[in-house]
Amino acid sequence: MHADDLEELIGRRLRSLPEPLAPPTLWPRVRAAVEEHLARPWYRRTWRDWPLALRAASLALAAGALVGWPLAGSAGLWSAAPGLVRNIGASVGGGAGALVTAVDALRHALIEPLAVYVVAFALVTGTAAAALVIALKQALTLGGFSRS
Amino acid sequence: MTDVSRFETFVRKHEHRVYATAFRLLGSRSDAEDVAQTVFLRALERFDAIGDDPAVGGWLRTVTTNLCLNHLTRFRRRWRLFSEMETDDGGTDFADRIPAEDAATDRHTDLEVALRALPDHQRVPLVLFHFEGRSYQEIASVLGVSLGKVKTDMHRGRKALKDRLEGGDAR
Repeated sequence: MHADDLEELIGRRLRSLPEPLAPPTLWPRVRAAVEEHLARPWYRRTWRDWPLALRAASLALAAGALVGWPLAGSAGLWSAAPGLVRNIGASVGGGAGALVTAVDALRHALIEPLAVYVVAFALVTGTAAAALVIALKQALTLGGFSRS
Repeated sequence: MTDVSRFETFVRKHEHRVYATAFRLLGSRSDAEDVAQTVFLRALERFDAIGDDPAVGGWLRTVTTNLCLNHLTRFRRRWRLFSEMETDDGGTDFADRIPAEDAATDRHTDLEVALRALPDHQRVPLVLFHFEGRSYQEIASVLGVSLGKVKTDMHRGRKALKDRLEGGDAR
């Protein structure tokens, strides 16, 4: 038999099959899983399922960290912090004080000059990534729906 | 928060279609039920957005198909590997793969059982083509194998089903 004829024959026979029915146990299983899902505390759910107030607070915290970090740096707040740490370190021991001094020097030499650029880069790429994810989700959703 | 009774109506409406797709792709009732449960939990996560969408059936079919393929590949590391490790005729004697309790049945069930007894690399593309309306090219892309391999596997699967049907006719 030719391949096209075989395809047509088997296709016709397969499509004439009755659809297998879901077992009666499926919904009870789904319901149990749903109830377990809904009973989880908020911190064990995905971020999208968090209460609205917590989602807003987490967004504000993240935005505050992103914006506040370079602002704090430019306001000189960071310069005061190592001094405090240095004092604590000195009281703990000379080794800790030396470590704090080394970290402080490293921060001055490498981190502070780059901090603004790193934060700006993170903001731009983060925004672009979020826009891309939203666009992809919409495209996938529309694509999936249009297949039916 | 999702209304559970509204979600139950949703599940009841779509459960047979989701289960049928999963059952035919996986060839196992228990695996199909596991996948169907996962599909509906995914639907729950975005129920507010899709619950009333008239085109949600397509979304459910896509998610079901993807989860089934993930399920199959999870146990075989890579589709290509397990597919190409099979021998030309499907690895084992086709008749040996048919469960004994399914052997004496009517014609419809006979074909359904024969379909389930096919090796995965023959059954899955046949189901995607004949039940899910995917093209050969789409199937090759989804499974990550060549177009030629998809066509060869599907031809061998159809031949096995035809032989089974003719064997049934002769009984």
